[in-house]
Amino acid sequence: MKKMICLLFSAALLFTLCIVVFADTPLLNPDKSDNENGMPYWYPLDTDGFEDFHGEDLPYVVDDADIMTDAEEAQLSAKIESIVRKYGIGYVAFTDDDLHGLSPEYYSSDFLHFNGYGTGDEYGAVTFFLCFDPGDRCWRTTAINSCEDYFTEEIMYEIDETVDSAIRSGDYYDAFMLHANYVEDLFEEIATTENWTPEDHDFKYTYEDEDDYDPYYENYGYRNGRSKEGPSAVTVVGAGLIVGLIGGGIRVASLRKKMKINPPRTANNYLIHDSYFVRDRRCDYLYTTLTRHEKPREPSSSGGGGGSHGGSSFSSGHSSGGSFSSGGRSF
Amino acid sequence: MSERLESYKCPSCSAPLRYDPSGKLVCDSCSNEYDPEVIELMDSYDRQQAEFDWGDYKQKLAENAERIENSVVYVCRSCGATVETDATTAATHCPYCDNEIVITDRLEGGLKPGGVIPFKIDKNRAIDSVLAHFKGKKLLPGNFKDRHTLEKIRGVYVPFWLFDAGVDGTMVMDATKVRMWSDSRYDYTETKHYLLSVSGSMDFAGVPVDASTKMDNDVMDALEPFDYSEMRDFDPVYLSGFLADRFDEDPDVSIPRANERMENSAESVIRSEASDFTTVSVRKSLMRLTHPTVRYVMLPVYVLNVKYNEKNYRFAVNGQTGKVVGELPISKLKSWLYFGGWLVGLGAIVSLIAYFLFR
Repeated sequence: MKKMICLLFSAALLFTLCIVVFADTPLLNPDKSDNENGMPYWYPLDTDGFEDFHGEDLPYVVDDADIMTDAEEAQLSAKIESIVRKYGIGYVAFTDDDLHGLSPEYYSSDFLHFNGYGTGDEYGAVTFFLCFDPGDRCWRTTAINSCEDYFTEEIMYEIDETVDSAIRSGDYYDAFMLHANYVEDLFEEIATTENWTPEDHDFKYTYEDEDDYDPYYENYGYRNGRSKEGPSAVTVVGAGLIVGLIGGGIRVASLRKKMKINPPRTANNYLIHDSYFVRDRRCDYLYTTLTRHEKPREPSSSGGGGGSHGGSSFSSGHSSGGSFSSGGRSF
Repeated sequence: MSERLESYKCPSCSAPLRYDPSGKLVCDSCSNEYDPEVIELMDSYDRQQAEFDWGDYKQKLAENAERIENSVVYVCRSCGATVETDATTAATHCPYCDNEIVITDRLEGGLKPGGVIPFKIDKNRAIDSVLAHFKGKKLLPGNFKDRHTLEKIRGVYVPFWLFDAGVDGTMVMDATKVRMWSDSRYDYTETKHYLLSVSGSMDFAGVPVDASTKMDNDVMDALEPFDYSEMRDFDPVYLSGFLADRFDEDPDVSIPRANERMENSAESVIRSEASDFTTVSVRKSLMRLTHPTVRYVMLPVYVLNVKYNEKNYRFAVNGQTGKVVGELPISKLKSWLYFGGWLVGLGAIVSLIAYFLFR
């Protein structure tokens, strides 16, 4: 009897937990399989005549690549929600592992447009998109409509510098948090500055002058023993010992070689000068082989305008859903 | 040719070749086409074998066999070395093992050599040469350079076989010429394959191989070269003050060493004709000797034996040029000190550089 009560209690607890978790996490579509056009589940079947709209109950984190834990998603979601509520902008953290043949800029722009993330009269929104498509692992900050005015090429570059270390270290949650902090700071600056323009922004990173400030280190420190202070004493001494071992070994080996005898293996000293003559020389062609290797492709920037610097790409244009500006890097 | 066709292999992929009515040999595997004459030529090269033949040199040697007259023969009790000298020179210790030797007049004088290069440097200069050789040898034990030990150095005429021959050879080589270019999408590499054959001849004179089992072949080879222009007809007077070793190694034993050296040199010379190709690999080397002769001569060598840690180290000094050859003992203590010094010194420098570079 006791067992039965415990079992029922556990089942009820599990059921309640499921309801609480799923009820608190709005879903674009519980079944995330591609639509019948082979596009992602959130992509409209017909994009002709599409107009921006205000989506409802939209999630702040869409981790379709499943790179974050539930706890991380919850914390990130809370952070983004606070930003969205405070500044009235559309903002979402988005990951996916399949671009469905689109460029990362178009894919993330369509994600914002087609899900109705835009807010206000001008439907402005921004997303930090982490792409794990095997053919194009990259990240993009993509802004649509009115938000395009804020996320200029210089701002995008600064965002890229901000999240670069964390992404390349595989600390994706940290990267999303850094991005959210940056967006929060930026919109705080916009809100408190009269007639704000991008020129008013105090850039920590510029194309020409990069300083040592690394927000990843400042905020989270380097994980896995890495330190901004440089290699540890053990690493430095270890490297010195290895090089010293190799150098000492080579030096002693060369000294020992001098103690040995090196007899000649040819009779060049006994070849009579001018006695050599070529009696016959024949060269017959056999066959030809031709091989070709495709050159490694330079990362391309799609859309018109913009450019790239230090591995960053910036582009702007029109996707199926509407206009966008986007910046990011490969990793 | 048709009977042999089935065994012809494609030089590119080794698949069987097929005779095509167009007159070419065609590979169905890689689609290459070949001139039948070239494939037959390649096949004929593959079937040829060449060997250095020194002919009846022994008979010629026997025809000129004379014995050294009025010599005194010594036999070493320890290593069995048989050396001889003239009647005025007293030998008490073996030049090879430094043990006592005994005089005997029952043995016949050794085979008279066809030539001799007299000693050109004296004992003191030979010792100076050895001391100079020791300089810069940082791992040499400190107590090894004792001049008193070096005083035991002895001048010995070492028997040598000198091999004279012409080498007539053909080298068949697989050669390639590589061309590379690029367009906007691809990097291209074109490799043209050729069958290259070069025939040539050259003469070698006096390739020496020592004829004494007591002397280490590598030491004697490393002692070269000797200036043969100073070769004289043998006269027992040259033995005064020196010892002469008797040859106890048959030329047949020495011939492979001479062959190897001449073949290596001939191949190197002929191969230089293919310098205009990108890569060259030898497919076949067909060398034969012309007008081979073997001479028996004596060459001047100072020999020094030094015992160190129960091991005998033998040095040889070219009695004509002063060149010193010999394996030297290695001080374990000095080896470790050098290793440790480099480990600490280099390690410290690298650590400092790494610290300042990556901090």
